[in-house]
Amino acid sequence: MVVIKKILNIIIFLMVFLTVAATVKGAGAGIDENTIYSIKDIYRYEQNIKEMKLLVENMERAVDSEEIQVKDYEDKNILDTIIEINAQIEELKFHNGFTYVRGPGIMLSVADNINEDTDLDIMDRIVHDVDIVVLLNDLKAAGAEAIEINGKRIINISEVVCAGPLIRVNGEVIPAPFIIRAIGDIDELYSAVTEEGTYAYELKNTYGMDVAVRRSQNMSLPKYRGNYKIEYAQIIEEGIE
Amino acid sequence: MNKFLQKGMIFVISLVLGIVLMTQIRTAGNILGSIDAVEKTGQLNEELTRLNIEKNKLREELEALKEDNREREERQQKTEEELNRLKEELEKHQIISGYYDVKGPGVIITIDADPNSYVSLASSHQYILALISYLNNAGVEAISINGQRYTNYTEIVPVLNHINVNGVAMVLPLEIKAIGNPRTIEASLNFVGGIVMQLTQIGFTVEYELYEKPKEIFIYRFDGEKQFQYAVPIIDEGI
Repeated sequence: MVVIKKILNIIIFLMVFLTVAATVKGAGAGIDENTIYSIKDIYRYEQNIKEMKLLVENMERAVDSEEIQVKDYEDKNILDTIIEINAQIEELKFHNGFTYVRGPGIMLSVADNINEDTDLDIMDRIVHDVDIVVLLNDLKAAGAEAIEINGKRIINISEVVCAGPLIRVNGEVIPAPFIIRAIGDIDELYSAVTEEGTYAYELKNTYGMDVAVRRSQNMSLPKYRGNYKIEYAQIIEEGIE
Repeated sequence: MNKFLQKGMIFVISLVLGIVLMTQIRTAGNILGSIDAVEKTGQLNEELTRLNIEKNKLREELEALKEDNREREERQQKTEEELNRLKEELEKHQIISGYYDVKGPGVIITIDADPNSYVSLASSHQYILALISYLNNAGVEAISINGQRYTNYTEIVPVLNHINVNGVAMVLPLEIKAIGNPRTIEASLNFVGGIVMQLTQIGFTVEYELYEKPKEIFIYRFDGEKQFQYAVPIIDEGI
């Protein structure tokens, strides 16, 4: 009985010893020094992985948003608008005299009366700005679709004004003789500057100026070259005013 | 009594040690799971590497997209600038064409004659033409005569005792509106020997009113449309 008790005591003692030893060493789950370092590593790895996952997620979002932007650009069809506006501009340019044009018409040249044996006053023998203005108007009235004088295209914003012995057109001066070319119905244009009673007829036959007219089946006229800027006028949008 | 105490103490010690041991095992198990720590480290390392590769791939993709977008943005900006320039150009041509209502500062000129005066509008139409020429000399941007817009194809034709503008008959008084710099217009018309003086000399009365900002003149569009039968545009700009 005593022996059994002693053995029992020894067993208990051993168990206690082993337990304590195991506890101190770090349980029986294979925890040694390496394992403890590994646990530290694992912890670090896990932190890194968490951070990395966040980073990757953010990047994926950024990539998505960039892709949306790319799509946005492709959706805007500015190019179509540009093409459309360009077409409108081209049409208006032709209408307004900002393009080269060709077609049938007449050529009219006008120069001062240089004949000295005349009773006419010197002022009446000189081609004035207003003479040119009236001739241009007569050609317009005869249906001219494009007019130029000495290489300067005449449009609705062209001035034809006196500049001493010269005439200023589109901001540049031109000297006599004045060569006017107009595209339109040849016969109508021709009669508008040759028929009795017309202004050109009077210039030639009453004031003795050097007026000559020639028909032409095909002429090309320059475009308006003035540097014209709109600073004051504004289009009134439909439906607003 | 002593024996009981001894046994009791051993029981308590065993209990405590047992709890400590279980806690220890559970903690280690919690951290490591059922897998070996080294193996787990290896797995984590692998995952980290994989994520790293993914991150680098995404970064490259992002850089490429950003570069792409930057280029697009630049292109877009250029296109928008071009578009704005074109819109301005279009508006300029629309204003010149006379097919649009316009407003702006300028001058309204009223030409009339004394009822007893024998001055004839028809025989003085060249003065009206000269007046328009001098308005253009002042850089005006739109002109109308009694409401008729002066376009590129407007003719002023004397008929009997009146004048036709755009085919519409007009008698005195004439109201000529011009949009432009009011001061420049005034200077271009009213000088010694200028068109205002010339008109006055032949018997007209000329009055004008300056409309300086913010006052505005309204000039209405030409209602017809010019049809071309003879003139053809030459597209080639290289001439």
